[in-house]
Amino acid sequence: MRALAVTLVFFLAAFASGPAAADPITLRQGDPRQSLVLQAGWPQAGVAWWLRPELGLAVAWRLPAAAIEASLGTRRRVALGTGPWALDLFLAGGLLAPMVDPGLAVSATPAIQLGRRGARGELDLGLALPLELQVLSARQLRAPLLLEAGFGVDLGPVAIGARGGLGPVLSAPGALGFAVQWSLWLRAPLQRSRALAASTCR
Amino acid sequence: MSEAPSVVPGRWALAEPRGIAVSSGGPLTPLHTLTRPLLLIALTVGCAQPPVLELVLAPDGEAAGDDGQRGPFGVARASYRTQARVSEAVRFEATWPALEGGDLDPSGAPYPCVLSIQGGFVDTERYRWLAEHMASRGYVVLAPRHSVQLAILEPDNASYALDEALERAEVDGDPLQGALDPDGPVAIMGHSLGGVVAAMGWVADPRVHGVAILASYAAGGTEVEAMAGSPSLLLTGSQDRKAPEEFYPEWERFPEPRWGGVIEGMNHYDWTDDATESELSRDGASTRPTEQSRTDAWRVLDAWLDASLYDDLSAAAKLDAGGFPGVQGRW
Repeated sequence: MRALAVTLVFFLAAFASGPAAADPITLRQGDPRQSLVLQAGWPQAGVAWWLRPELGLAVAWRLPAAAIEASLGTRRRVALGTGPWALDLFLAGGLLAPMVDPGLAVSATPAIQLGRRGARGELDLGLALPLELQVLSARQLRAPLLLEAGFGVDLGPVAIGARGGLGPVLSAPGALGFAVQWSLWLRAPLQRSRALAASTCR
Repeated sequence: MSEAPSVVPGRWALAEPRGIAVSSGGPLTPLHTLTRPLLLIALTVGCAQPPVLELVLAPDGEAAGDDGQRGPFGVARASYRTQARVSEAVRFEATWPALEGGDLDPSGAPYPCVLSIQGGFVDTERYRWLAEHMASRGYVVLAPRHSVQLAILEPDNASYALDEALERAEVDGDPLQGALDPDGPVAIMGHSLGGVVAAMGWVADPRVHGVAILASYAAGGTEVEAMAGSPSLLLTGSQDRKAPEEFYPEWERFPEPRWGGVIEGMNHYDWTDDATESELSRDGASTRPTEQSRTDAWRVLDAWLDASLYDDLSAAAKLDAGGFPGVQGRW
């Protein structure tokens, strides 16, 4: 049953409408708790498990059927944090499979995020550099620099929010372009799912 | 290479799907464990929804393609996708000279290629009238789509579409098989914001031989001045929101050989089908029927395309003589 639930969550994330790159933005949600984050928007959808406060696992799907990515991510509070304000660093890395012309790429996403958490929600502003380097079937690089902003509202145990990002995209080979992306997200705590998370990782 | 086009049963010949070999040799490593599911999903889903071919105009042997009228070829089209910038996919519509059944008409192949760039927030479908006219006169037209219908966000989508179409031209059974020559002539054309991006593509992609800019101009940072010897054509309407007196200073940036013209009575959205009330409210008022303005525009465009891509000397002579009805030109 749990396996079925995991599969359903995966395919919900995978087939939800939404193209940005297969960039694991679900691994840039600043709340330092174990949680499940679902995200759907333009141009991607995704799901992340924060298995531990500093370790997350994510699958992202760039639409329409352009690429799929699996990533591991970590986060570290580097400043503030005793009051409502916090400065977090995020780092995600993984493998990405282009789907139109099948191939394989590696990805790495460093990000920095200044956030404020209040009693009823959160706000954040950050910079992210979701790098993609295709290594099989073609050699290509995609390097956007995204200015991101997001907010969330607590609704009991879960939180919902929105996130947007924009910025220049350097690609090689290719011309300088520009990326615009947005998404809606839902985050649920994972206290009851520790065993499931552990078994999934094995 | 994207998925093979599908077929409408009974009307089209099946295109062979492309085989993909996955090596199974060697011991399993953690990398294999991670990559195999990703590749399996990519292969399964990426090949799931093939595009459909459509015959849009039957051949007309009596049509000469003169005087702004359609040409003798039938016209068919299909949508393709290609991988771009690692994780992105670019969709584009290909329109080609066709036989009665929709297959490529081999009589004139390989054909010159025209890359057509959409205006800002204007769907590519609203430029099909341009693509169909050009295909009926012996051109393969590729119209790439762009995120949020803003070509400036992805200015090299046309180059990705051209890469894919040239690959398709080498694939047995593909509708575009034999349609294009890798060293064949290519022009890029764009309307409004698409014109700005077309100028960028003209400068950036060495395969592009000429540029036609409709109701637009080149951005300041685009070094069109360096393109001496490559033909350009700028057309606009007398009723366009950008006044003709602003048009010619922009045109003068372009080096020789260049042609420019103002179509009498035409506004900005006469270049698109299905203009909305909102668009028309921001535009000048057309003073002539759209079909008449378009026919006048076609006389110039056809002559420019034939002269630039087919090296047609009589078309070049027409251009140099000027005197196109309904057009105030500078040559």
